[in-house]
Amino acid sequence: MASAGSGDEKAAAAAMITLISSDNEKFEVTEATATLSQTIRHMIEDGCTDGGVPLPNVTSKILARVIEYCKKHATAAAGEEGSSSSFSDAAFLEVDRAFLEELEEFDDAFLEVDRATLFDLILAANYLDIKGLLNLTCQKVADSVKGKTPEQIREMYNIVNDLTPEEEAEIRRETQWAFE
Amino acid sequence: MSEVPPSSPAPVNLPDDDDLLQEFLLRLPPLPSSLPRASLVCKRWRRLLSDPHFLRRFRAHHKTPPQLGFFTESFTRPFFVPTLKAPDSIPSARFSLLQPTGKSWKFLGCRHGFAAFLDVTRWEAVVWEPVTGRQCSIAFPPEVKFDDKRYIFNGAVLSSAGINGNDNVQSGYQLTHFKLVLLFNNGEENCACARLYESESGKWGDMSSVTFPSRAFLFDPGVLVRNTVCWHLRFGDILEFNLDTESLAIIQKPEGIYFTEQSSVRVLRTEDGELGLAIVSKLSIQLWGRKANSNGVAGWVLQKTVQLDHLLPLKPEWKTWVTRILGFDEDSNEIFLFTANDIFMIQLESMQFKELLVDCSITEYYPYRSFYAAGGGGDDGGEMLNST
Repeated sequence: MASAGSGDEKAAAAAMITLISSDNEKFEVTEATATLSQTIRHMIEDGCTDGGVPLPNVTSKILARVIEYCKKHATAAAGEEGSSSSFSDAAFLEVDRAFLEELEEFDDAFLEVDRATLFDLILAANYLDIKGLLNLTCQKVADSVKGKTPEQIREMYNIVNDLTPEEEAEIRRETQWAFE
Repeated sequence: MSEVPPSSPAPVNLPDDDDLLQEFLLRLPPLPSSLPRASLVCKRWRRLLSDPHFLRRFRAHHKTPPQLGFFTESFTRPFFVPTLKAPDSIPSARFSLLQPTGKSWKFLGCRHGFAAFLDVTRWEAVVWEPVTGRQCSIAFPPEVKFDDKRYIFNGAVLSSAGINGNDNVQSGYQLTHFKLVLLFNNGEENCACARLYESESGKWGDMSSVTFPSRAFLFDPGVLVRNTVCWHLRFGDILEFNLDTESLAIIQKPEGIYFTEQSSVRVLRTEDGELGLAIVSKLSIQLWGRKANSNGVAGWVLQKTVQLDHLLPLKPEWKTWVTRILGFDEDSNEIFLFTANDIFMIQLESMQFKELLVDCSITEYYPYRSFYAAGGGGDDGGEMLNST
């Protein structure tokens, strides 16, 4: 795993959680990684993770991607915490910025997926309640319609225009400048 | 079609879930064309986009609304000049007053989606929400005396929800309640009085006053700094109205401040939310900020001095002309600067600038920021209280 760093080594001694995908594949992850999901965090708090956490709404293909995201972001969070006590302010800021840049690059690369996968990631992020991942993926969808005309948006996402001609005319009349 | 990469030409259905759809729509850019355009996609999108709950979240998500343009004072009315490009350029006529001003009036500026002016002819203050067109007139309190020269005749409007300098989450639509500070003269020489009107109660608060050693002018718009509104008084002195205690005070100018007859001064809100001052003398700009010392006592600190002819691409033949600050945007910390017959917008932290291709005869810029809902600026259906 290319992204293994000090965070992972430190966490190795920590508790492990088993996640089980809808197609019955098992994934061993650290608690730090798993608890990026609020849903799983609550399950851990309630003590119902023995024998693994079944995730019937998430396929192994998507779960693997979600775990990849959580690992990276959990490592970054752990790295930041670790560095704050051992660096001077200036050095800390430097490390902080490097982390952020690396994370941004990771996120950009992570989003290089087709739209069907993107939507599956959104459904998983929503179900698992992973705020960062939901924000990232939903922003990608919002960006995809930026500057597009209503006709182009409908075409991209198979949306049927069910507005009556009167409704359409009303919207266009009220904000004509927005369609110029 | 060039937008869609050849590897994924097939359209894909969005998840069939209103909550998730809202999550996407929430992240559309806060520009004014965003929501009207999206509402033309289908009935479902239109319904979600006009949901009051969605609009509140949209505001909260984007925090600071975009600068749509600025207002200026034409002879007969406040006039909107858009600065965004198409399709976000809102025509001036869209933001015109339903009820025209009286013959004599003074614009107070814009904040939190509101604009306000004092109508001297009708003897009332008018608070106006340009995106919704709502207008509310408030009769002056009885202490206000006619000040022919209007040396002391000013004020400021703000949302009741966001009086903290950085808390402008509420900016935009559905601002049902506002506060209005009125600065006026009560007939006593060299005296400024203030009363605070709150739309929620429909009442004016108690009067506060302060006297000056010599004649004072209060021409520039006020700046909201934390829980105070501050106006430039004269030669760097500042008149401060505390919104919590509803009292006026004077803050002395920085010592060692450099002035000439042609100096132009502006009250600022600095990047860290503190009171600041910009002083332009010829082609040099000084930026001062209030800082607390180790004993907690606030004092002025000179933050930087910048030579404008080194910073800006000025036309050499105009360099000897007067330089003036014509406006200030609290939210972006940018000044509008007239120099060498051009107008520049300068961000005071980064000193990045852009030239504005606008009419140079404008004497004051009142930047206007707001979100814009689908369907005519709409909102949560709240009524702006009209209490006269």
